[in-house]
Amino acid sequence: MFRIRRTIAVLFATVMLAAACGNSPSGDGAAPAPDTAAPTTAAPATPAADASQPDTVAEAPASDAAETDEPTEPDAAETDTTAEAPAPEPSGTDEAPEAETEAEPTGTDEPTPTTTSEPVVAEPVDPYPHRHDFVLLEGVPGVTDDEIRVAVIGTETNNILGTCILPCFHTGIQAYFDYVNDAGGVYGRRLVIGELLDDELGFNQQRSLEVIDGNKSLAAFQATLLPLGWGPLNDAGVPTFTWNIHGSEAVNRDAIFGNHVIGCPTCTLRSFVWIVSQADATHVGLLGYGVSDTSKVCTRAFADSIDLYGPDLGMEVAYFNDNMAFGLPNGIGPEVTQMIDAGVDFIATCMDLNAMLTLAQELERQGVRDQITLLHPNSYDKEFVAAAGDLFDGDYALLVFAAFEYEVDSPLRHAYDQWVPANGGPVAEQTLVGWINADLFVTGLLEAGPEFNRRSIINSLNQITYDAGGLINPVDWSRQHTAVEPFVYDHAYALHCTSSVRMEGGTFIGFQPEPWMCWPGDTEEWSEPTPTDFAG
Amino acid sequence: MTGSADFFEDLFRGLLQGTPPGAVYALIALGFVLTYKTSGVFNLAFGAQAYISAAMYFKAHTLWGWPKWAALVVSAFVLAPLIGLVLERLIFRHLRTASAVSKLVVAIGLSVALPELFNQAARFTAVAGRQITGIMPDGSSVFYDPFGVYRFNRDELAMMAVALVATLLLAALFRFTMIGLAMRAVVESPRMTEMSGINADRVSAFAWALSSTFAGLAGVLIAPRFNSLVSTDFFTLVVIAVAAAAVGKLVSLPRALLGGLGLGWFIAVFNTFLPRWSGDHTWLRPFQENLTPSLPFVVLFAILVLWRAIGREREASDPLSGVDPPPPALAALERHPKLTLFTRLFGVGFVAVVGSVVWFRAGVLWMHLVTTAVIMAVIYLSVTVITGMAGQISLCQGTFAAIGGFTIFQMADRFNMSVLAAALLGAGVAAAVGAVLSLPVLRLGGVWLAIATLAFAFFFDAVMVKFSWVGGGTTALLTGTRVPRPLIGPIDFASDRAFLVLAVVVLVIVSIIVIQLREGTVGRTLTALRGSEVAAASIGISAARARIIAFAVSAAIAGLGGALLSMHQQNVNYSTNFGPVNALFWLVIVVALGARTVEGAIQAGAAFALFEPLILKGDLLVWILRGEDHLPGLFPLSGSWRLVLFGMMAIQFARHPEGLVEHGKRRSAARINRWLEAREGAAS
Amino acid sequence: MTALLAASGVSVAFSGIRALNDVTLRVDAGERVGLIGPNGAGKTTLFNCLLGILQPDSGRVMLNGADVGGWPVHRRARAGMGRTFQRVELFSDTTVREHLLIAERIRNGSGALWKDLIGRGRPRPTEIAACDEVLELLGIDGLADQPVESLSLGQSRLVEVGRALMTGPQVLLLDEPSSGLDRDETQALADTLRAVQESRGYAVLLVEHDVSLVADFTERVYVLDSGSLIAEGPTAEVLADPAVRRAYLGSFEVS
Repeated sequence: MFRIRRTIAVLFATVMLAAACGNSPSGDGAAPAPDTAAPTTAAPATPAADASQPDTVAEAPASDAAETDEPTEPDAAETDTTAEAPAPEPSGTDEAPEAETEAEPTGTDEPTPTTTSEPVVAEPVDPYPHRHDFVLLEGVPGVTDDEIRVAVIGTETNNILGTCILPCFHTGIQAYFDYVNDAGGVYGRRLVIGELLDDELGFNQQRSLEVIDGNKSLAAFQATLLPLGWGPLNDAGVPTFTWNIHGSEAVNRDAIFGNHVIGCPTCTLRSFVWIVSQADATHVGLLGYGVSDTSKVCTRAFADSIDLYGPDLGMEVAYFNDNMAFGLPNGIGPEVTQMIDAGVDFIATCMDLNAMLTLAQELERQGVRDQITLLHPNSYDKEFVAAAGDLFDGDYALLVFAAFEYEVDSPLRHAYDQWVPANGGPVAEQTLVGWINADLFVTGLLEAGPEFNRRSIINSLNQITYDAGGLINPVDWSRQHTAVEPFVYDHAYALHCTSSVRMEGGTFIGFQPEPWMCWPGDTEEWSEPTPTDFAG
Repeated sequence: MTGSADFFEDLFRGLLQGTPPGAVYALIALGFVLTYKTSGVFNLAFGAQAYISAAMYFKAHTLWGWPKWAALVVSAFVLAPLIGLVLERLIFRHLRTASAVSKLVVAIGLSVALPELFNQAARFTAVAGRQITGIMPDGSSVFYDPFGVYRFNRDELAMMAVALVATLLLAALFRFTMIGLAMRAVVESPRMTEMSGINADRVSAFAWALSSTFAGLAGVLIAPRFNSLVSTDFFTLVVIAVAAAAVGKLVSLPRALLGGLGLGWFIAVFNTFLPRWSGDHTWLRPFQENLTPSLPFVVLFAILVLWRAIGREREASDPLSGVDPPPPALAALERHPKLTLFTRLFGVGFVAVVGSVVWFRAGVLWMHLVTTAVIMAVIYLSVTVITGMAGQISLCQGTFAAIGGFTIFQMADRFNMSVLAAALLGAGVAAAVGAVLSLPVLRLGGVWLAIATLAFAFFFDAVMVKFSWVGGGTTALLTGTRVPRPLIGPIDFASDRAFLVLAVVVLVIVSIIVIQLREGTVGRTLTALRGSEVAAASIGISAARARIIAFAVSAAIAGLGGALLSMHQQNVNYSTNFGPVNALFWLVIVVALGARTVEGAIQAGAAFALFEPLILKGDLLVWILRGEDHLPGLFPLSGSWRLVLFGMMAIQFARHPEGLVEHGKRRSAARINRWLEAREGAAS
Repeated sequence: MTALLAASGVSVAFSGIRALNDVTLRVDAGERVGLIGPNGAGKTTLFNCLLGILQPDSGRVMLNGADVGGWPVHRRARAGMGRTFQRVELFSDTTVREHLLIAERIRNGSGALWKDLIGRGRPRPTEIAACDEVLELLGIDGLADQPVESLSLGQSRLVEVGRALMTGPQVLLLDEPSSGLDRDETQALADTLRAVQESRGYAVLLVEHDVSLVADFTERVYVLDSGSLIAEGPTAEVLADPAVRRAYLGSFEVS
């Protein structure tokens, strides 16, 4: 708790910048055209599908390192006739796993379910046929003959945001590991979280150094508010998978991978303009915190977007203020009055969810709440929105992952829906981040081959494009480690996409036809977005 | 015509809009004045007390589902006065005659320790998305519109009403009741009060219960304005409210009320009109941009610096203090030569053993920790200079250190300057800033000087860091404030060991400088000033000049240390390392362990970096018990206990300004001296 | 001849109440002058005006013929005004000798930050010798290494005198030196003060309400009452004046 208001401000702002700006470098005409669906997209590591090895050659080596075939109970459950889900079956037996109807377009296959509403790809091929090959490894940290151990570091104590960070992140990873272990693990070894470290907000560097020093973990997972340990982990060559709200700490560090990347903070955003148009709004008010550069840049990017695209779409910036005091200790009365005077009918902010509440209440007080739509960069929190009742009706939220409100027909999502609740975790952003991070790690393992080590995992991930089975906008790790300023196509997302939801009656609803709405990344020109489902 | 009608309507609306936040400032300012009037303590821990009650209320009502009245009673009318009584009984009763500065240090220690103690004891953490509901039913959603211009909700009305009624009641209490008179009399002269047959202890206990209850009530009332409870927000509010309290010179309740409301009104009107004017007059724009977020701190600083009445009054001194028994003689400063020899040998041996263990055995983690300890010791030597030698409380040492860090970041980023040269430059820049800052605050001294430095730290935090030529702007946004390690000829300090050597060398040099200063003219001048400002002036010492030098030297050391820390972490990490609240903890840990000596600073540096892993995490115990298996399940303890422990230790400052460790050493040295002398006597 | 220290027409009012009314006073080189008056007569106020702690509303303060009205306290001190305090003001946590050493260093003005940094800031042998000489003169050389916290009140007074002497004063202003001392101690102090004054030759302005000390020690005396001077002249004469006797406590013993 002994940290500063400013930290909180910066953090909130970063989270929201990630949301608002993450997917969205604006194009530069000269940039090479991206192949729309990033051909090198790696298959998610999704292992449940053992169609290629129906009899589950889960090589869980015995202690003598012999490759004993050892079908476990879950494996049994995983044979083609998956009427029942793997072992720790959560609630409804007939829900999640069965829904895994179709195979990954990129290749991962699924146990053929009973409910087949969509065409089933006939012969799914496991892109990683060697996933159960055991090779004796010496001197790889965290790897024994039967286990692959990782460290999870994050903020639990003194979390000034009061959100569920480390516990949920941990649950997401653990759920994914259970899921993989259930299908026989990787390379004949079980995935184990060997170290779980609470950085108490201020000790991230120290905890990271403990992991490096102890040398007991193959990789590190990080969901922290103050990422002081990312540099040391990167320098020590530890593959590190993060809740990447700290763009600047991940940039130019090839061992730091995130659940997404922060593309180009300063670029214009067609997604933002599109949401304004969805709200049929014309006069946009913009608010940001003066204390945080991130927030200011984000606010400025919104304004630039309206300036660029607005004239053709009949929009203008009617009010702009990026000097709000963090936490709005003085309320927001004068600013709202000025926005009403300026005829504002849409307000986008680069502020935290608590400030959104203050803002909405002030709008209510001044009697204009139902005439003004809000865009929330950081309010995708079911409990928070439910508590607000109908206060946020008609507002929009921007996300960096496919909102849960949209059907994403990927095995990864289906397994998430099953395994995370089975581990007692909420279906929420932070468990999904852990889940995606874990999948990225396993993907790296599988890409690296059975004779993996830290460096080979990093290197092989840095050759692929990864989309978490459609849960995130594909990231090309071969070029997206680098900062984008000024805009350079080489280091940005190939497609600029957004997944947004609307709020009604204290809950979120999807309004997009597909999980993602995308614009081509090679041009800055306005166009209507293409509804996209990376899983489909 | 309509233009001016609009103007007045806007003005009126601005005033109404500023009233609720103004009432928040007023409530805190009232409580602050109340504590000062009834106990003579400049109570920066007021925010901590308010926080505890707010958190208790939140926990009881929102998390446990108690009815509001029950939660209110328990948090504001039971827990709060109880805390006040405990503080009075254990701490402040014994400090009635202590100087205002030492009481301020005690309050700072408490403001660090209390919230963490509560959080640990009650297992309290902030909870996102759970709104704090005020004490009124439907407090935030039922509105009243008294003037047809702006609507207030019930919670706000309740808060404003309490502020007004409390002012009237408390003013009446002081004016018309015996206990009111007695409370003021006890502050002015406890002994005189006793002579007139009043039990000073009982009066002061009542005063603390009263002011603490008010703190609790204020905390619960203002809690709905925050959407998640964080103790530092309360601390910041108190700093702002000091401006309002200062309007009443810390004694007038009605003026504190007006000061609080005035601050709220001023900010709201400012925010109403300045954007409009700056639309017309572009030259106003930079002012608007930079002032808006930091307005409260600028107002505070301006009041302190510009209002001549502040800091003028002499510290209230008890007219009867002349009859105080003289303070206990300090343990002899002179040591027996054998003892000196022994301690020197022990010190050298200890450093040699620890040094070689670290050198040969430490992995990256311990290398990092030890290096951090060494660098923090350098930074803490800046506290030794300003607080230990000059006797001034500076709460912006973090800012000076940040200036050092940002200087090397900027120089390396823009001009590719050698980082070591940049570090020296950073120390120079920090010294210049320190000297310039000391000019306007020179005449303040004591408590007000401390507050002015705190306002400066918050100002730097809110305004300066934002500038791209300080905090890095877009560059920092994209790649952080990364800083390279130095490279001198063939020696590359990117290696942790080489860097540790560099840090030790810097520490040794700075230690020698501090010792030379202490033994030299500057140090002896400052010692004289600290001992008695009037006496120092009477032998021709210019307090102003001496303090400028002290500030500049201290800032330079902090700047150098900050630069070193940034090199060590290879990043400035401003908010983690150097924010205003961090610097509070620095002060606390140094005064707790010994602000007067170089050893004290080194011990504080070691405690800062090593206490958590060695003690709280249990590494030392593991080593003693030879194995992690024997470690009691209690471990690892939360790092927050550092704050509690050192915060509590800082409370001892009032009685042992030399620091607890130093105090203990002097006592045992005296004992050993006596023993040695007795033995020698027997031998001869 | 120019007076060493002179106040002319000094008036001070505190919130409308006249604390000093057109007071004129002079102290010549080497002279021992007393300033007496009942409690609340304005002695301390006048003292503070002379020293620069208080700015008079009107009137001038001259030191060696220079108008020192705008000078801060420390500048007047350097110009030759030494003083002691009624409530002892020593530098805590230091020894007796250190008190004198710092005063000596300030007087000779050879201290500088850069000298400290290169280790040239420590007390020099000549300075120590000068201090020890004064300590010896005051008869407290045995206490040189004692921390001041361990001293008696009388000893503390002497340390204050010693400290003031190290500034090389032309005039020494003594503020109620007998306060808190018993008769024997006062007598001892008076003897020491006179001996030192005679050997050093500076002027003394003694503010005191112990009339016996004034009578014993001073050559000339000023009497203040309710902010105005009511008498001045050779000590014996003034103290014999019935008007003074009436004003001052009604009566007192002159030994």
